Amino acid sequence: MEHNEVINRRDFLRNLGIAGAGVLAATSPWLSAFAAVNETAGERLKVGLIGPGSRGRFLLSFLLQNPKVEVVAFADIYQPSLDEALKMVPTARTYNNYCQLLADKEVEAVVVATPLNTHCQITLDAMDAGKHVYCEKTIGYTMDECFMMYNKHLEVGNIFFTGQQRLFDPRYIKAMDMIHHGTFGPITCVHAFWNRNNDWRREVPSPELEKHINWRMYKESSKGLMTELACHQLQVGTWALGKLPDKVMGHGSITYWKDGREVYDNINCIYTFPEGEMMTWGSDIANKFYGLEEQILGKLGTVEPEKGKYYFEDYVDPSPAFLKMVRDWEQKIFGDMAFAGTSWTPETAKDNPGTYLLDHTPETDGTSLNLDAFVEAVITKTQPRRIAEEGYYASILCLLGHEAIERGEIMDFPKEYYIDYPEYHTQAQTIAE
Amino acid sequence: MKDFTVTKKRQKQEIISLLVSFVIAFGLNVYAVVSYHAPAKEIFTSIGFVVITTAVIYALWTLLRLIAYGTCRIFKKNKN
Repeated sequence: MEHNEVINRRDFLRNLGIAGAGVLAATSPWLSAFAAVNETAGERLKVGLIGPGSRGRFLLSFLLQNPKVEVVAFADIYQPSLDEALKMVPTARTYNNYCQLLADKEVEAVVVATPLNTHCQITLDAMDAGKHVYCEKTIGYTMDECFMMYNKHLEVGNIFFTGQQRLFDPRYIKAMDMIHHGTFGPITCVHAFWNRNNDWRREVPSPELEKHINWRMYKESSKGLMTELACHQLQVGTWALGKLPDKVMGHGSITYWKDGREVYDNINCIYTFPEGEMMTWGSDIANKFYGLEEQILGKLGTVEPEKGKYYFEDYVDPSPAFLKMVRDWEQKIFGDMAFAGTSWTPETAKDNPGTYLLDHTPETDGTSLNLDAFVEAVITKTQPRRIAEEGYYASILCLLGHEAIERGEIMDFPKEYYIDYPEYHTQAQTIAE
Repeated sequence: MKDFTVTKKRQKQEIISLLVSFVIAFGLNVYAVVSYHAPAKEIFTSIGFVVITTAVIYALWTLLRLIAYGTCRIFKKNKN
């Protein structure tokens, strides 16, 4: 999809390989944001960006490709970030305090891409100032903050989007459509992981800026991998299972990067669901071999949306029958040989090349479409169904996981943070309420 | 160097051995196609595997005969 063209919803759905919009209403109702895309063609939304650091400028690059957006202001306490942003939009006004940007009457909507611990206050102030808000995930530093932010959105009625770009990633939308139609049978388990092999640090021009630039490393401003990475993938798990976990346990440690950071570099969490399903999330940033993935396991098949592939359990080997026969004889003769005690055969994974979810490589990971949807929603003054709720629960789940790690306890989902979101509330949870 | 003479009888025997090997290999392929519910065209498209298997069976049969021949000769020598 070309970003300099007005988004055509029909083309978007056709690119997904899905016949009509109706089929997505249950799986991805937030796509309704594009419903009036042609009618809004002549509109122009004035946007302010709070926090034009590296992530902020990444978002800015997409905003600038949308002909319905005019970026009019930037706010940051770090001048080099403002200078970089001005290179992209020389006509924009700059502020050293976000409150000044919020007081700018021309700004209709703000994009918040600041450190985690500042999201809540900025969002609350923005909503009070009548601005619509796109807030990067994780939305709040604590579960209380997330709850306040969500309730403020309900109270004020302004548009509220979160940076959960997978909600707009064509691969994920197609995968969820297949999952929710039962293509892979009941989903029993989701294994999500995000591995890297780097220290996750940014270059610091002078030591006093360390905590400002590497805010992700310090507990006062971040909860590390849980809030920066897990948030995306936990949302994928609940989206696939269509429900919320009721318990979480986990462990974290600083295993390799003992460089003064305060947040973990090695984490594993288990989320359990009321009917026994499980979701694991892990991250190790000293080995990138397995990269990132959400392995969604069903009785009939597996989906790996990051790879953009799915695999059926009853995979038929395309080799000629003669070769299959030779392999089977080989397996019979050598495979079941008893080494000690009972005979066994290692259940190593079968070589299954799988099938691509889409017949083309998507041109977006969803970030640009997420921003485009936000713009459409603000112009039409229509909050798409479930978008804020998905962001809210994704944030709550990663913060709950962090809490479980910190306390070293199995944590129950706190009932006080349930919101009115029947799509994710199973019978057991509703009764508990 | 001594010349070897391959008699007509020996040539006939070897051709029959090769043919029998081919028939066994071909039969295995037909069995595989039927039992793995593969398309019938594999009877012909897998002919390469059949040829290789023919050569393997023939080689094994030749090896067996050489062992038998060698063993007989050792016994005969011992008798004399």
